[in-house]
Amino acid sequence: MKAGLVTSVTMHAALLGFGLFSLSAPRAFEVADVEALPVEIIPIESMTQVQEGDKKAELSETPTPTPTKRPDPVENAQNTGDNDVDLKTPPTPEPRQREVEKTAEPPPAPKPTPKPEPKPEPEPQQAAAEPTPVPATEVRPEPQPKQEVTPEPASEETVVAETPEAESVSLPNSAPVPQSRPQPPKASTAKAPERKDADKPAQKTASKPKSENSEELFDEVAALLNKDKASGGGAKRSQEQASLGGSRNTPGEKLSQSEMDALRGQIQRCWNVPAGALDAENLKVSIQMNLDASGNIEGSPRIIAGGNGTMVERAAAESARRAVLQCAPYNLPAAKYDTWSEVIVHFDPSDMF
Amino acid sequence: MQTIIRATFLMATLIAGLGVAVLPARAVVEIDINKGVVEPLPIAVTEFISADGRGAEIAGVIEADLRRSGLFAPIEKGAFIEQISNPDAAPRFEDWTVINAQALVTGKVSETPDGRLRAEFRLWDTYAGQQLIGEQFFTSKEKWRRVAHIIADAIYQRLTGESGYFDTRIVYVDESGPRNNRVKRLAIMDQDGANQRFLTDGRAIVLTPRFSPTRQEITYMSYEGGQPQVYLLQLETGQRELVGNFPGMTFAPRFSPNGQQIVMSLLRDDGNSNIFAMDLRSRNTTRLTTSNAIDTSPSYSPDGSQIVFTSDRGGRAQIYVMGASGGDPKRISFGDGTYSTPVWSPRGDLIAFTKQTGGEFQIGVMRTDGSGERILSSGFLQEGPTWAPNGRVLMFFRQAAGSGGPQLYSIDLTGRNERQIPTPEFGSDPAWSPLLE
Repeated sequence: MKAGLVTSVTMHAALLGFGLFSLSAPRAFEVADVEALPVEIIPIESMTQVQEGDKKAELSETPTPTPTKRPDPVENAQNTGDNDVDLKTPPTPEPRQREVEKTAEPPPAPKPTPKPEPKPEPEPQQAAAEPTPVPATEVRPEPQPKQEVTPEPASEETVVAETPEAESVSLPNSAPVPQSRPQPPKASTAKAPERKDADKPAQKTASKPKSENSEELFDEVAALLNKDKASGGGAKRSQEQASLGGSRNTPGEKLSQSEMDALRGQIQRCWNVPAGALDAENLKVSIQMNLDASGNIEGSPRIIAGGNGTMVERAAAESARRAVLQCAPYNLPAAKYDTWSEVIVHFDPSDMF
Repeated sequence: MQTIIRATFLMATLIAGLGVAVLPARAVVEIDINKGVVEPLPIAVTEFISADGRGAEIAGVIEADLRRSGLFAPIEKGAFIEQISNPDAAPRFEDWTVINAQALVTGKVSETPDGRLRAEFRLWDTYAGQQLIGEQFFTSKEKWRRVAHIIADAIYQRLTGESGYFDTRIVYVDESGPRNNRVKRLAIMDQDGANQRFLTDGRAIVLTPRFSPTRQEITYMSYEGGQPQVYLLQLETGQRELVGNFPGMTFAPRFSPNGQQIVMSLLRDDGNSNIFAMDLRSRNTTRLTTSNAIDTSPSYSPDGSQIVFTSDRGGRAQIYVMGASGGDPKRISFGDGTYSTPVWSPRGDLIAFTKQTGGEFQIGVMRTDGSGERILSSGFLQEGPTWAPNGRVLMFFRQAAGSGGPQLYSIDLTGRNERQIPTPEFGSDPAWSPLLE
């Protein structure tokens, strides 16, 4: 009995002791020292899309100064205390009754005067706040682009006109076949310099008859001085070209890879592959289309490659044309419209077989 | 004189230089599309305008044909926005593109003063806003189904570029009765299962009917004379004749592409069979193979210059190709299992076959040099492929495990769109006719 108890106690003690020492200290779970890596995702176009200069641009000797911004004008300190002249809002002179000469035609000023007619108006501040618009253009478009565009619409017209005629109707009483819309003139003509028009209103405002009375002139000068805001100074805005004559004024020359992929995905969903046709892998078709700024197709897309052989090829080309028509409008970045105003789609099913 | 030439030259250079300078430096987005979808083309088939209900019936047959091809998805009529009242006027294309119809069929059925049927139709490309075709047909009133099939063929051809196959017929072996006492009769029907009729009375077992590619004529094997022999049957007259008079049994007949020869197998007493060709006009027979093996199932290439057949000269049944006048056969199939019933596509690009491997039967196609083997369908028991005349669709027969008998099936060359062909009883050994004249 006693021996059994002793044995039992020793054995239990041994077992407990073993368990306490061997099982109670498992190996520490080591965590490696890892620093978090900050990752920034940058679209590739910000690296690759540097605006290209025009090789044919004239070399200017002076390095182009960067256009500076006018610093914010600093208002005069407001007078305080007993002062009745230099107030924040100067007293407006009473509108004077004077004879208005009704001249038939004001003689046009030979050249635009930079200052507006200093006649005191009921609200002189507002009137004077609008100086003559200075046509400050950074990049003056060269007149070359005009030449590019001219031959374009004429040749397109003939291509478009041919297609409907080719579709002959074998029925005697043929229904009116709707003609495809004529190609509107290319959008690139809109790139003609717009700033020239801005000069005209400036001339008109400046061509008012001047007052001759010297007293009035003094008054006007005084009024002008009162109205003149404190100029902020700063360098004049640069009239030089910002770069060596970029041929067009686009923020990016190319669609980025992701934008191309989006366009590709959009067309792929609409394209019904001519599977099972004889020599289907050789049915390559190219379609050219012009897009307007909202991504719709202008006119009708033209089949520029493929589609003029066997009936299978013609059907494949028409199927590709249906695909681009069905997919419109296209979601493309509006800022790069100049880039994608014309799209050529090459359909090539050879990878699918 | 020289100055003039020089001046002209100068001018030319100047103009050329100008031309180069003026070349548009336009930015054009060029994009490659090399993936797409394989989907049926959504098409709207409107009811043809007619005084009676015939116009709707014809439109229904056209729609069913197009749907069965698997390449078109006819749109439900309930979705139509514009109701066509004048099929001669251009439809409002926006109403059809908005329901995603890429093509539109309109038409009119009327009766001519002499009591014939006049059917006209127009096919429109709704996205391009153009008429693709407009045709009219005259026929007798009872042939309205054929007119519908012809119109469906025209639509199919215009939209896929390949010739259609709807205006065709199928000849097959109709099987009825209990399994141990099957009655096998030759039957013929339109490719959509309509106009079913029998060509033989079922007293003798018939097998392997084949259509002539040029005439309304079929050749088949029958046990009528005690042993299997190849017969020729005129469909218009019902006239029947024995092809050749050989001592042994002849089987597996098939026409040449010009319809002037029949190529078939002749079994000799030693158990070997060889391939013979017989000219139908002169009745001269030519022996094409001389092997001590079983050569059978010959089929001509569409240009008639070559013959594909099965032979077990290599140990197991494989596919061989030889010249039409015999000569050195070249083995083209090298896969596992055994190959049988090779059929050359009417398009010439592929050979369809039955393959037996792994305990099942497969229907497949390979190129004529044996490359690019593709299995289209597998099953417990299925064989005997036959090509639609455009080489795009295959028909074969299949018996499912445990079922009472075989049924006819069709499948697209791409392996899609498998469909059962409705027959009143069991059916086997289908053969597709050429396009009817």
